[in-house]
Amino acid sequence: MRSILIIEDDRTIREELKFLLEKYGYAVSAAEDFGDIVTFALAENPNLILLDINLPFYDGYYVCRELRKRTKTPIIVVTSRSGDIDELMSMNLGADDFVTKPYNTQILLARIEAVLNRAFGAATLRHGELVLDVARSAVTFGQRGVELTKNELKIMRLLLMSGGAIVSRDEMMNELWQSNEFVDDNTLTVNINRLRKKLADIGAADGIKTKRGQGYSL
Amino acid sequence: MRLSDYLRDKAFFVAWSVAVAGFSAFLLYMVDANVYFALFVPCVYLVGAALSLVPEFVRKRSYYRELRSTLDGLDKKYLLSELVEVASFAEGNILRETLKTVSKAMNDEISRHSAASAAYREYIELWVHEIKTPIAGGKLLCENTRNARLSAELEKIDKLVEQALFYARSNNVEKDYIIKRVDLSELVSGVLRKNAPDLIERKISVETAELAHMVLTDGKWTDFILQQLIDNAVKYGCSRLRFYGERSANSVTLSVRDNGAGIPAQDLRRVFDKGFTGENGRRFGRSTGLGLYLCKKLCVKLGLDISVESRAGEGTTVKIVFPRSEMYEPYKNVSLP
Repeated sequence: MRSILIIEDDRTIREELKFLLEKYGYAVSAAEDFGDIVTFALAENPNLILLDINLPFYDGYYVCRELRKRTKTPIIVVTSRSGDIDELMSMNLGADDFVTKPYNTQILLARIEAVLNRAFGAATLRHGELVLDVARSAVTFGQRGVELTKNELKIMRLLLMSGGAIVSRDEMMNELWQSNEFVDDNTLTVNINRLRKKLADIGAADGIKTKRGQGYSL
Repeated sequence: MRLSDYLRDKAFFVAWSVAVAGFSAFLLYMVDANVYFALFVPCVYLVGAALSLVPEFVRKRSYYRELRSTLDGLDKKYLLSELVEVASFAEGNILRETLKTVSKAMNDEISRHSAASAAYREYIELWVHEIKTPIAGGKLLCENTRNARLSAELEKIDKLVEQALFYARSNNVEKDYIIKRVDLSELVSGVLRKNAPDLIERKISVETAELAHMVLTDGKWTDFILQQLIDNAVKYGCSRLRFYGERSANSVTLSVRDNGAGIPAQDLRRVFDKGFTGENGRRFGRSTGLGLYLCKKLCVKLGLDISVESRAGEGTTVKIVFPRSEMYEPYKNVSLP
């Protein structure tokens, strides 16, 4: 399980973000005292740091620079300032990505995953006997495996990441839109049907269940 | 200054001189002087008096003529006081001093106002950044409690807040933009990604075509313009949204077409006017009359052309023309001030 450290002084955002990221299977810790935040972050030694810019004591730029001197841990800067200068500054100080508030959670999750994959390689996701190798875009069930198209991979990944919980059609479409596939309702249905057939071919006949009016689940 | 104007100013002097000449002729006639002599002396006096006016007239005329032509030549008329010359006669200098004093007082007033307006703008920008944190917190809360309807409302708040920020900045675009070569398809995709939840929930189907062009513009401002267009399309009930590019010899045109309510012919001419909401504003409500106004204003500042074609009931097409100036080509990726 990958760990994420949230450095954010707004309590609501900190707690809700923690809840959200935990739901998506990350081990999350959050800093509550910002006096010696750099030491704290180094001691936590997470896989990824989400760093706000407006912090008490030291601003995020300072923290980012200090952290970069001593660790290679990926850092995503999260800020409400949306100027080009801020983005440039963050990148110059060694941040790996830059997200502006208020963020779309799907976008934030996608960025987090992208940065983690870049740093540690793509993960394999599993649910029972079903194993998804994201890097190879392939799913295996027991001994048999099949390759997935880009859209099928995105849908499969979303289902696996939510770990059996229901994923709505809108969430799936959003996920596809986030990688510039602006599919409509019909295309999504086609994609899901193809994915179901592929899963059936490798023996996971009831791999994706339909929850009428709500969405799909594994 | 015309001669007749000048003489009218000198009417008293002229009348007085004529009266004195007449009176002296009368006196000379009374003391039995020769008639010719009695007329000749006052005439000499009158000619002398008239000649004494000439140098003053010439001086004043040249001074005011100079002043007038300086004024006409000035782009910013209020700078006149800086250019007005010292006069060789008293009234001219009174005018000059007055102009200078008035202009200085006006400058003080203007700088007071611009300081106040800059401070206000800074406050708005700061406020917008501050409000983003609670909005972000609220959106996360909605996400975690699966409250999609509240989330949609927060989305609206966020867009309106964003519009306020851009409105505050729109008068100073030149201080805050970087013209770069931007990938048109990435520009459009970026806005669509941002609007994905809203568009998907409203079941609006989106099509993009022929967008693989590089255009010269500022990404952030163009993003804002496209956002306004999408907001409008959604607001006026479209179910299909199409983005397509078209390249010509010296420009790239981006068309944004929706199949929404369209704009009645009589309103079409005024859609870019500030505060104009028209027929659709009355029908749909929630119109601020600011969206397209800001689009137009920003396009002008960025050197883009924007136009609207529409037929009521059939939909609207907004076209943005990005010029492809060869002049810029050697300066790829160089930011202009």
